[in-house]
Amino acid sequence: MSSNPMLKGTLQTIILKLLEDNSQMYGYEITQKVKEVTAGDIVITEGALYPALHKLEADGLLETFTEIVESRVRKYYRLTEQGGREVTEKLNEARAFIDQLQLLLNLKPAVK
Amino acid sequence: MNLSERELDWINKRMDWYGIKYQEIYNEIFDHIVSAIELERAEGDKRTIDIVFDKVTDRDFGGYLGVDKIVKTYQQAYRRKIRKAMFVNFKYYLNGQTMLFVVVFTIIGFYLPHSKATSIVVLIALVLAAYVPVTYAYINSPEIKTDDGKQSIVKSYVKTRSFFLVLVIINILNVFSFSANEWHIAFLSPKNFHPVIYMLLFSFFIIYGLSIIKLCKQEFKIAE
Repeated sequence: MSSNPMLKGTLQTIILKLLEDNSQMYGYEITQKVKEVTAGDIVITEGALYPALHKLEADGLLETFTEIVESRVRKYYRLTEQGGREVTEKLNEARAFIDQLQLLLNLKPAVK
Repeated sequence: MNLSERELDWINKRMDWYGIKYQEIYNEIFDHIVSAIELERAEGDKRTIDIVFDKVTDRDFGGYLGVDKIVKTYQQAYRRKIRKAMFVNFKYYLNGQTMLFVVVFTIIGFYLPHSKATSIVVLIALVLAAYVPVTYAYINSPEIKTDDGKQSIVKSYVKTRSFFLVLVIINILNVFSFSANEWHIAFLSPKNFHPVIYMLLFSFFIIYGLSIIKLCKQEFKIAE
């Protein structure tokens, strides 16, 4: 899946959030963006990324289109209307889960 | 850093080992691998293409088995997407208007003479109705460039769905006729079906056909 097993349940949320912020992205770009944002601490493997992308597409949360880039076909993903609504819901769920974890494990909020 | 034509050809040939049947899946994995190799090159890895290819595919995809798993999950997800879209389309056409149409057809069925001639006429109508979605799918399927030995997953799956009604009609004609003749059960023979059964089938064929046409428009991205 990824280098951090705790991410297993949040991969879809990460993808949806990235697509909300970037409007359209292709597979490799998503892996690179996650790596860049987390300074390489989180690496999403392709074996986890593509099944998640295809599942989100099958569920109607993402739509795809292709473009010819440097003479090869590139498949882009973007949020559907339903996907846009789902991001907010998933982010709220993730926030609530993190809050509960902090309570349970007595973690201090991260200080930047 | 862009790869040379020779290197891209090498990657294409090497990827044949994965035996990816569908062009869309192949294109996505090819683009990913080439993008990753280009980044490696930009970061200073100047080794030969075979070494960088193995490095990237082993690290990112987990080698042959990893790619195979992605291909399988893609096919499963696409199959599920088509199934779900067909269900939604069928529900969309199963509205008050079509239910009224089904009722009218059923009533007409009761008034039609229960004869061989009626069965033949309605069977011909059913055969024609069965071929409408297939014809639509073939005429409107887009030009998707495929490499030798590959096919488009979109065209392949949508066309398979559009054949469903043809299979139904073939089964009615073959299986029921065979069973009627083999076991001497007269009512199983299509020529003895009550016209109401044909009218109900005809209604189903129309609704299913409309659902397939909508699916074609959605998947082939034809502007409605």
